[in-house]
Amino acid sequence: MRPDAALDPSRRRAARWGLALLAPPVLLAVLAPLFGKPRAGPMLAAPSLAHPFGTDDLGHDLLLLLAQGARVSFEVGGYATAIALLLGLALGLVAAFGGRLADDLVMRGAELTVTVPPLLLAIVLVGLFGAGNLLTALALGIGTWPMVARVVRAAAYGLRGQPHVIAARALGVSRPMIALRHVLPAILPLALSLTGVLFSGAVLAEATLSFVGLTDHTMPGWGHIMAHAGPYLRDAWWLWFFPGGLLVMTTAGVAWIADAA
Amino acid sequence: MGRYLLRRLLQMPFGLAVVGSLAFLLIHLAPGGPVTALSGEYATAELRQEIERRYGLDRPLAERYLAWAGAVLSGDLGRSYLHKAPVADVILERLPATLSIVLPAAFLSLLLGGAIGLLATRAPGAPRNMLAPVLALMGHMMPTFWIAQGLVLLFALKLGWFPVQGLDDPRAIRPELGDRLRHLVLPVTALAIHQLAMMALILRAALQAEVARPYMVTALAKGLDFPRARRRHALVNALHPVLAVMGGRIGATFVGAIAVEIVFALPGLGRLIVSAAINRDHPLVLGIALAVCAAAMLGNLLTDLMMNRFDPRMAIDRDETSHAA
Amino acid sequence: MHLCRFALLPLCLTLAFAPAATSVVAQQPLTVVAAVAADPGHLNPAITTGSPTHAVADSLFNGLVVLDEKGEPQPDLALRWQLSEDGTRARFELAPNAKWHDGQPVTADDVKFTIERVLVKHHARTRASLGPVLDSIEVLSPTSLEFRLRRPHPALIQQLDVTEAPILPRHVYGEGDIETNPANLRPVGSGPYRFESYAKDDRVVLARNASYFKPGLPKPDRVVFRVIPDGATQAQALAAGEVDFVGRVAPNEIQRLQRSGKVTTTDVRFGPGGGNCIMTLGFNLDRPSLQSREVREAFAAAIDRRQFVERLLLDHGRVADAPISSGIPWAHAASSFPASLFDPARARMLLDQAGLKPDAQGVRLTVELVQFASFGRYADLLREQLGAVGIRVQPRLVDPAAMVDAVFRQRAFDLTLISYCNGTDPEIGVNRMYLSSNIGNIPFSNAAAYRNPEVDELIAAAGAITNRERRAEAYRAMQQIVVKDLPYVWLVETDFTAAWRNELTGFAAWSGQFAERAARR
Repeated sequence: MRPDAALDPSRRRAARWGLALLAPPVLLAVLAPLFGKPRAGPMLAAPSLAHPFGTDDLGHDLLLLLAQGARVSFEVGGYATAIALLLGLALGLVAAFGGRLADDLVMRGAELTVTVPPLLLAIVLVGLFGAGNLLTALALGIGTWPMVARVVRAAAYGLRGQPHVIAARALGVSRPMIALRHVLPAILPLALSLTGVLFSGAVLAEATLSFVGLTDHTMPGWGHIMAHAGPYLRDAWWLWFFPGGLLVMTTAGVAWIADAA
Repeated sequence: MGRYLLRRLLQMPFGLAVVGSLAFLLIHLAPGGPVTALSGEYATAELRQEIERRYGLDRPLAERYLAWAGAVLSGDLGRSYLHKAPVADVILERLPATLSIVLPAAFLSLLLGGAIGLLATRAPGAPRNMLAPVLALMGHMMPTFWIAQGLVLLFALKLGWFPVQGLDDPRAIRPELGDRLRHLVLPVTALAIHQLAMMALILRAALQAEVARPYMVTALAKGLDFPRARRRHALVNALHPVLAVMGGRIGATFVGAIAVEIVFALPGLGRLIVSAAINRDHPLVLGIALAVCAAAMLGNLLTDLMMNRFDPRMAIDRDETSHAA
Repeated sequence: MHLCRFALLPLCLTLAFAPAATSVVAQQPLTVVAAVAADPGHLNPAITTGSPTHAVADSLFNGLVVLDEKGEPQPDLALRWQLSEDGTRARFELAPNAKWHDGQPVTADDVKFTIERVLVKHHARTRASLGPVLDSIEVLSPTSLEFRLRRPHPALIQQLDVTEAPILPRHVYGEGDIETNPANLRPVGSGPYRFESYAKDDRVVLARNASYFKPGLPKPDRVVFRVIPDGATQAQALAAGEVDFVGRVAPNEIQRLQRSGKVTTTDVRFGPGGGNCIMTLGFNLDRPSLQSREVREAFAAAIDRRQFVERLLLDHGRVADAPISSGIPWAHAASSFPASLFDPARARMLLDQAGLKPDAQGVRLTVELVQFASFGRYADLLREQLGAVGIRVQPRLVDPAAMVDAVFRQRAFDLTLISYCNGTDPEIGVNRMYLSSNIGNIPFSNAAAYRNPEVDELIAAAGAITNRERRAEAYRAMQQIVVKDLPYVWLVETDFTAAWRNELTGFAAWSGQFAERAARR
């Protein structure tokens, strides 16, 4: 967290915009269980009072479908972000406090990992182990930890020279203890500020996987809905517009909030 | 500097070895065991037996690893069960289609992204403009397939300017340049939009740092107007980080091509890896992934070496910056 | 719409090329571009009944006969034929000038080889119908042969067309395992087109067979099959003139294509995969959980088939109210499997009785549905309807080659969805689904692994009678039994619509060799 964040009006404005963008998809995800299962109605009905987002080719209410999809997106995005943060924090601290060899290993590992795009890793794992939201999240988390680890390591290096850390060392506090007690709390906000990038990246990757048909078909995500919009692009603009719109609102909203934090 | 180069060169085979070992580990963890992972879930009994014979699955792990690694290093990535052909051949067959959209898209994004990044850079002290954030939103937050669908809707279906699908007109006996270009426009544009936002943002950030430097102040003081100084002086220096990032984005570009190839029914590697994953053609999935990783590492290495050659400021240990993306 | 502005720049640059490209195309020799929905995987039509292979490969081969628009047999490789009085012998005279694409003559020996060693082993429909009946094929001379049958086989001549019985050259396919023969990917046939190239997931290119034995044919110089998985993209490409012919238009695209005024459409009951097709859900009866008849009945009661007609077929088809298609009216046991069976409450009750109680998430049973990716929307509707009674369906949508391997070789599935085409006679396309001798590694055979001696007998009896009334009785009895046993849920009868650009004419949309006489209007 930048110290002046709260004071800068343009940042505050960005955060407010971000929240406004993010609110509808979050609301959908939260309310999804209340909506119940989508029931058949008229096919390809344009948005109306009865079906605010219209219906798809099977007559499903698009709003309900998108609410279910929102849960998938937030689940995968949330888990992937958590995994990347945990791995990144742990490995970043190990790199900063674990000595030369550990540092080298972690940093080489990070370099290696960034050559493998997270989505590619997800495709490989899904191909070998079968589709599943948790597996997807795991792949995306593993694919993005270096981003966190690098920031954490750099910040931790900076903190090593701080008086309170030097003092703790002089008192004979062990290195893991220093890392956890004195450094972690200070760099946690910085790591958390990466949440936006991680989360929106994971949501986008999930949508792509579900678009190409590599996700659990029992829980259709936004990408699945958009893949089926293809045949109706000309007549049913809502099938293309709403899922994509929600997706962009989610990714952009999260990114702006995180940017302002 | 010599030591850095040497280390960098050694890193490549080392990295490949690590990635390869991880792949080998995955093969053994996969449900159905290594035979299934090496032959594909629905492979024939004959293929399974051949795999067992070749890698001696009763032998110790280390021995099997060496056999497998030896095969991979000699370019033998196994046999695709679905295509009934060596994985390497299948990949090479599909490579041109992917390259034909990825390379123009990279070029276009560099050009357009560069232009936008240049124009978005303001003189020190000038007011913050919204172009860059909006661009980031546009390019980076929109899924490529959504953009691709939108382009088809507007330019192919509504306006009829460009073909709906494919890389060429199958009626043409010989490939024709005009026909090819017409088919490439929409897929390349879809792919480039995603890339160009990234390019614009990085260039703008780099330029913003450059224009605050003393030499710019001098140039401006000598009476050069800002846009010209920006283009003549700052741009050259700011290009380096952009190139570095480009080299590191080979993998990401490939991933972007997946959705584009599916929307436009192009016979490329992206569609191939998805179909391989869906059809449980494990050797093909692993083969493509390994090939993409190798290409990404090579790209990284080449850009690093280039930067080292051309930019003396980069001759220090660049661990922190080489992959910032 | 910021993206338009950015997209426009590169677009305009290349727009200049557009007019030049189209005018060149118009002066070229005639190439017909046909869209197919799935990659064929291989091009040997004698070892599969799969429509992705037949859609392409039927143009490379010939049958002994060809069916005209009314389904009547006309000469193809056989110039004439004669049935003996008792119906157990059929003699054929081959066209003396018919040649394989490599220049060798087509002989009676090739026919004998293909039917005895390939078709009755690997072609699910011909295996089930001709297999039990065929005693031997006698080669009388290089160009004449005689079928010797154990008993009369009413459907014989009708099922000797290129879809049911494509003839292969023995000197190419005779050695080794036919399933792995390299010629499956580089076929050598006798048909109007010869193989030129095959790029998987992209296209198959066929070139005019200049020494074809039918004078003046084929008319187009080349036929290109372009793999376009998405039905909408196919139709869009057709309307835009990128594609000339679509053999099976997606139901939701038909009206629009008709309205466009650029395209001719026609309804066909037949096609390269066969005719009178019923989209069928098959149970894997090897799975203990699906061996209970009550559980299978619960599936049938949970599925509202009218929705499939209404939402997926848009009324281009009807509920399959009997195991045999209504397109064979004399054998069709109307209302033996009525749409009114839909009763979700009953489905829940049956599942309760079978001891399949819902868990905390309301799931009683999880089943894996392995099927073609091109039938993806069926999977969505099945998942939803079965999910409503607590049956969780996990669809696995794969390519034809993987589907055949998963279902027929490894039997790694719980449910599968297959378009079983009945053909013009139950002998052709029905028997294969039920005969216990037709279980195993034969694509599109008895997927359920259904065994019932009574049904085996009834089918054999029906085949042995020539009297249509009495055959019908046997088939009705057979249908009553399979409806009770429920190895399958017969979902919907699908109608096909073919479409081609108005600039062209002469397509035989009902036939595998659809492009033989196509020409510019």
